Amino acid sequence: MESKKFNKFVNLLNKFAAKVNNQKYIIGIKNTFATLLPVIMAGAFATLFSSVVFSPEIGLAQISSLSFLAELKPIADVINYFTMNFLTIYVVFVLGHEIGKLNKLKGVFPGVVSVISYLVLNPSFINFVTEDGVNLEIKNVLSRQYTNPEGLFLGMFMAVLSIELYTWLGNQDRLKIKMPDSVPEAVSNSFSSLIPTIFTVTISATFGFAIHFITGMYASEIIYSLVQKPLEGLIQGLPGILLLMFVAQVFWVVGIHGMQMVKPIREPLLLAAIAANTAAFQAGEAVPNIVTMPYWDIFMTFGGSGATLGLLISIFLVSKRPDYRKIAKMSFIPGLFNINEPLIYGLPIMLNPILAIPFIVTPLITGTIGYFAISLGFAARSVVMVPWTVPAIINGYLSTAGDLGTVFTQIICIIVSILIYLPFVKAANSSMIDETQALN
Amino acid sequence: MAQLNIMLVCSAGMSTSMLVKVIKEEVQKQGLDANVFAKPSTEAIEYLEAEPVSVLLLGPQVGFMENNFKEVVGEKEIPIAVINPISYGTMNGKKVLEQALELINK
Repeated sequence: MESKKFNKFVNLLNKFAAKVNNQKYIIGIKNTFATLLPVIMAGAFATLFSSVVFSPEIGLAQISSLSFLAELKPIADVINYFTMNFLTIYVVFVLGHEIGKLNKLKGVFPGVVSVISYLVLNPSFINFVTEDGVNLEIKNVLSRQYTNPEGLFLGMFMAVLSIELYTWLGNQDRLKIKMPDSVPEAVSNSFSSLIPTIFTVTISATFGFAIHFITGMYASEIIYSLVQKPLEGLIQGLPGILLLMFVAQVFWVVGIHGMQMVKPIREPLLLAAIAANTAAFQAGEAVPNIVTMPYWDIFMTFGGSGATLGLLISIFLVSKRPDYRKIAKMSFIPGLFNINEPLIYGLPIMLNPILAIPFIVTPLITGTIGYFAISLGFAARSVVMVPWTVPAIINGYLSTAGDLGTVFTQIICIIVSILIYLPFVKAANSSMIDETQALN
Repeated sequence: MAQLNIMLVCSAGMSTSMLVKVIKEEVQKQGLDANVFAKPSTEAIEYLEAEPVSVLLLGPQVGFMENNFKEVVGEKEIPIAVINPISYGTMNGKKVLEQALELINK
């Protein structure tokens, strides 16, 4: 009976995974953030350069013969500004393009429609109060808050809404401009997108105008305070991020890629969080977020999902099983780069009642340690986006622009993970259950 | 142009590329004319639509995407299967190649 119930549970998770993955907007969001990672990386490298090379306080530029390097800081600053503080624009463009592709539209033009539809919701002026208390309205500027990650959610909504509208309009036969057959295809194609574009952009702008007219607030303020801020608060708090990790781990235990499942929630929020941190660090302001994409990688997934670096070391220390030792040896090098599929399917951890427990629990505990170490000021908040394949310790050092407290915390987390895995690896020594049978 | 195009897909194309390495060794050992490569799931559909693929093998972690891919390759009739988790975990190139060849010859 037990196993029947369990099979039902596994099937349910599989069905859920397939459903989530088939959802058009989720595919679009996942592809968008995968595409844009280099943009975030470019900004991160600029920041790293700015602090380790160009900075006259902590970088190479403090050496007097290299002081000219400080003059070059604007290069890093401008790259940082137009990557991190423009992230929303890029997201809106790529997501619009992706949704367009999924709707079988040709070309990149839907990306442009999507960007315009988002921009027309925002005011193109800022109010500026001078020192004498005079209120000036500066026209024809776009405030930073509409291009930086604060605008992310409204941007994502608009990308989806505008492209759906654009696609629908394009499919209406009555709106098609008919060209004689002799007109070249390129010409008639550009005419065929003319009316949908005009309608989509006009409807978006009117929508923005109506919202401001009725509520007195701009759409961006409403979405930011009603949707994005609360969601950020939830995921960037300790319980929220642990819940997200827990869900991912449960999927992994039945053999489904857990990170894929939480990606649509994790990516927009945690990548926005690191972008905000990078921008603040670069500007010399207080770094706002504890929970970021690197926080996830540094404290919860060293060695791969389930913080299996600890499992690998535990096996080398106490496992008597030749099969375990063989898989662990094979998995060691990929494990250093946080790739652990051989462990998950080879050991296996998947559907393994003994190893599933530490596999789920370890990242939750090490994540908590990391969170408190940062809250107490012992470890630093991450400011540089580092790819998930960078080995532990190095990722902690790089992502905090060289904070040794973070590295030390990471070492503690690795030791703790070894201690959690140890008794379970020992139990597997004497286990009479043949895990390979559990798979069949 | 290789005769067989064996495509492996996983989430980021990382762990499958490890498997690709061992399958390639096996291909060479058996003297087959086969091109083995890995793609991340985000690029897989576009690739399938544009390039020749003889067989598509999915990493078990993305096995839930099987039906998605089946829909995409529907007309092309490319065989698709999820790699046996144990062969995957133990990086058994020989077994996976066997699985691929069986699917092609079916």
